[in-house]
Amino acid sequence: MSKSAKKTYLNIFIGLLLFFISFILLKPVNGLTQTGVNLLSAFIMVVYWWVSVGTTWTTIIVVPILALTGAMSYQRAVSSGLGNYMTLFIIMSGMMNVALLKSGCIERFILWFITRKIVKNRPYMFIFLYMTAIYLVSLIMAGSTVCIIMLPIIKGICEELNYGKDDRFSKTLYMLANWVSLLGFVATPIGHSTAMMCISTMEALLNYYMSFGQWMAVGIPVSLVWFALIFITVRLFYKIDIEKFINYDVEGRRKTLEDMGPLDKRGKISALIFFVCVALFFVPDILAGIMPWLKTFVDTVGTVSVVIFGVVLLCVLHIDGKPLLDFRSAVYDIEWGPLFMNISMYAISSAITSDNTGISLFIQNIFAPMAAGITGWAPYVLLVTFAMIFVTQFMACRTIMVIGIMVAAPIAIDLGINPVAISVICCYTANMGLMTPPASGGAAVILSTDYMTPADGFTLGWFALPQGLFIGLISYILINAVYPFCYAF
Amino acid sequence: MTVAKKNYMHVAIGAVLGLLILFLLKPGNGLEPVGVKVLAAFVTIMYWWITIGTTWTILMGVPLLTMTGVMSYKAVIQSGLGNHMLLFIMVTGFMNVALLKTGVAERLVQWFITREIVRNRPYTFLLLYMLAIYVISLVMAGATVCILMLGIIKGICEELKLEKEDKLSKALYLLVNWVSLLGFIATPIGHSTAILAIGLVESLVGVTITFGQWCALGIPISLIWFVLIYITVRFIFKIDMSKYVNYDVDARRKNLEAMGKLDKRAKVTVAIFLLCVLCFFMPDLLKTVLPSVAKFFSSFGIASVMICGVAALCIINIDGKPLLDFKQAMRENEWSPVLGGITNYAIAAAFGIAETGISAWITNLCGPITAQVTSWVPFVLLTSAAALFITQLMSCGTTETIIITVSIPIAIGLGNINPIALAMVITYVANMGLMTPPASGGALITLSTDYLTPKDGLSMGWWCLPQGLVIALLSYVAINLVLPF
Repeated sequence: MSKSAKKTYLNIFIGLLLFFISFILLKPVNGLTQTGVNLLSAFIMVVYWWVSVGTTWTTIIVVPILALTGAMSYQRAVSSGLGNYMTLFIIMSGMMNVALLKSGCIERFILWFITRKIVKNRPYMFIFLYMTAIYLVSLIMAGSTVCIIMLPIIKGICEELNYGKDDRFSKTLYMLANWVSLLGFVATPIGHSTAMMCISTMEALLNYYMSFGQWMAVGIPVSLVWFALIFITVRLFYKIDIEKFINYDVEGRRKTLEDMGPLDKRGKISALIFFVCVALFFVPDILAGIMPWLKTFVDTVGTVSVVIFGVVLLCVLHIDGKPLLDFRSAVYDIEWGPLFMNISMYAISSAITSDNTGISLFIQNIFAPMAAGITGWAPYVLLVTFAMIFVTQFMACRTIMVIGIMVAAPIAIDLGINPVAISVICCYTANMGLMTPPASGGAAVILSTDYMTPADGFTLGWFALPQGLFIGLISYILINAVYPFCYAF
Repeated sequence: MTVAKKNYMHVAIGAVLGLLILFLLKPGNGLEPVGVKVLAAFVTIMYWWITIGTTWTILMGVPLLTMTGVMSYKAVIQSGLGNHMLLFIMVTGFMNVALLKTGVAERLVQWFITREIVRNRPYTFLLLYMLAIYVISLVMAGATVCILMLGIIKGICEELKLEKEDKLSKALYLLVNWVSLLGFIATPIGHSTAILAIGLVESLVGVTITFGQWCALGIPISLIWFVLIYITVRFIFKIDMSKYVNYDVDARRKNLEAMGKLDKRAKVTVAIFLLCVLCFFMPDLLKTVLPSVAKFFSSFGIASVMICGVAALCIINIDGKPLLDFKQAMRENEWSPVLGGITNYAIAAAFGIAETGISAWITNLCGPITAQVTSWVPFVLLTSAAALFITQLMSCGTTETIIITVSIPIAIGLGNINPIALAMVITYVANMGLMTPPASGGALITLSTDYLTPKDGLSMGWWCLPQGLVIALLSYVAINLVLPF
């Protein structure tokens, strides 16, 4: 039997053991019902599996487990999990991204940034524009996708500048591709499944809906602050050997961009449809006073319908004899993993908040005495932020975010701390998976290149930890100032 | 006309049809204003499905139904994507990915067609050939069976030195699709359209058909249809069997032996699958003997059982790798039935909402007819003929959704027709897509081979139409007896 098989069996067994221990030790007291005991024990087991085995079959197994706990029927588990509108939104956004990626506009966009005249003989200006390009692309695209797009570009730059595999400059370029692209998860929910999952988990768990506009109103400034912190870190602490940057041939690279030619009609229309859809996510909020009908329409049909219209338009419009998006092939190009995570996450959220489990009341009763002892929000925010940003270095962002919100938000309510701010901070920091390959899709891509080793992930990436704590504190202040009413929960 | 122009035209016609209904159809006779909007959306979507196909059109249910105001977009998605049958379709697809890789289906077919009894007996060979296809189709989708069989049939044709014009080669290809479609009648296992029908009946009639009930009716009915197909081939097709002398049973059996026995991975995969299938029938098998166990399985649900099966396949490592790689299964799974199901179930849910007045309207419209109709026969024949005919021109799932959604309210209105039986009969015949490439996945595959042309689909396949009507009448009687409404 292989080592990985043995490890999986062991972890499954430990998960089952944890279930039985919790089941025996937890008593239906303090508001917790017997169903709640079953559910909490199962939750501990499933979370252990997510962490140790990964988020594959362990996600979908939640449906039968919930049925067995008695917390809800399997029909309801499916209905509240798979039937959550965010699931369809994530699938449709994935299709939209497929079209955008195939249009070639993203690659052109990045090349445009790093071929500005201003970067000539200015290595840190180059790094700044390089980071800006990645940041802007990441606003609408998942980090791992951005990293995959960036790989050939970075390799080309390194070869052009004669930077070897041991040079700090090349390592920095690779590291930044992942680091900066992860800011996209902080900035917008567009194309970022974890941010969307955070929004819907808040809706299920806290009965609070945060619109895309609201998310971005806070997320973009926070991500820009983090962007500045990253640049400062690179500028002041990385001690990069920049001497070889004189080899950077702006003109040559610009010629490559020119050779690619302007975006063709297919690319232009795909990009246009994409950006119109994106605009419809938040423009109605901004123009609510001038065009109330637009807001009413988008609110009625939902952002999910907006994306569906976009996808349909891409499939219907034929240019050069073929549709902008081939529906059947797009179905196989999208990432289906988040779908199953969604099913389990929404189903569990719904079960936890259900009255028949008594879990909310139980947490409230447990933490009520502690609430009296805590006089400020800062220690709790720091604790949650540290836990998230530390643990996310070793496991999938999505998993740690879900666990974090489900545990931290109900406690925050009892402590009188803004649970929405805590949930959003969980999402911000859980996404900063940088130091090890399992930390994020981007980390897996970047840390497995010839130029980077997992050791580089630690030596260059640990700066994300103190940065994350700082971001946690300022995010809480900002979110709490913008959405203070959340105490009502 | 180019595909693009044709599509644009159909998009426009669909939209115009919807608008015409919206403006011309007046509320009244039970129909509410919101019902008019739902009907307009329904007609538009169905027109697109029929003319453009089930690609992006399967997504339109969400925005259009939301715009009618009958449900919020969240409710539309919940009633569509949140239907537990869709999860079952998804995980069954994963199970099929694992099953297909075991090679068990191929061995089973080879085993059937290498029995001693087929030596110099061409029609016995055909019977066992059909039987092999039927058996694997009980748990596998028709299109998958057709893909699996292509290599085997080509081998047989080459061995028998059959030309493309030979009726035997054409019959072999046609029979693959024809017989494999019986699987949709026999069991819901691996058959998304059967599962779709169960979900539609649940939404429209409020009755759940169990797997046991479906199979108890479906297997005998599919066997009757099997016999009808065999009789047609034996007595009507007039196949020249002279080249069958070239069939070398021994060599073929040697090939089967050379394939070796099923390895441990395959055996365990098949065992897990069969265990899941057994669990599906537990609520029916144990309801009198062990009612509490039957109740447990009933509340646990078929999707949960299949999830446990898939999880077991992903967990169990043999020869250093899991029996099923979850991520790979996601990539290889057939997702269109899942996305299509969103609109199917959402439409059914919208039709079932009393505030639309659609059911009442249909009942009132059919009032004068009701008085005259004293028998179920004309209605069953009419709907079956419609389903049989339409399914030859478009996908089975679309036909099934349209006919069931429209005819069930009428059947309820008529009062003397069992809507469950009607829905099952429609599903049976709507799956018999044989005559043209768009009729079914299997038809597309077999009618695009070198041996079979679309013309052959029409000239040899039309027999399914009278057969379908006979089966429809027989089935209705049987289902009405077993599942009275």
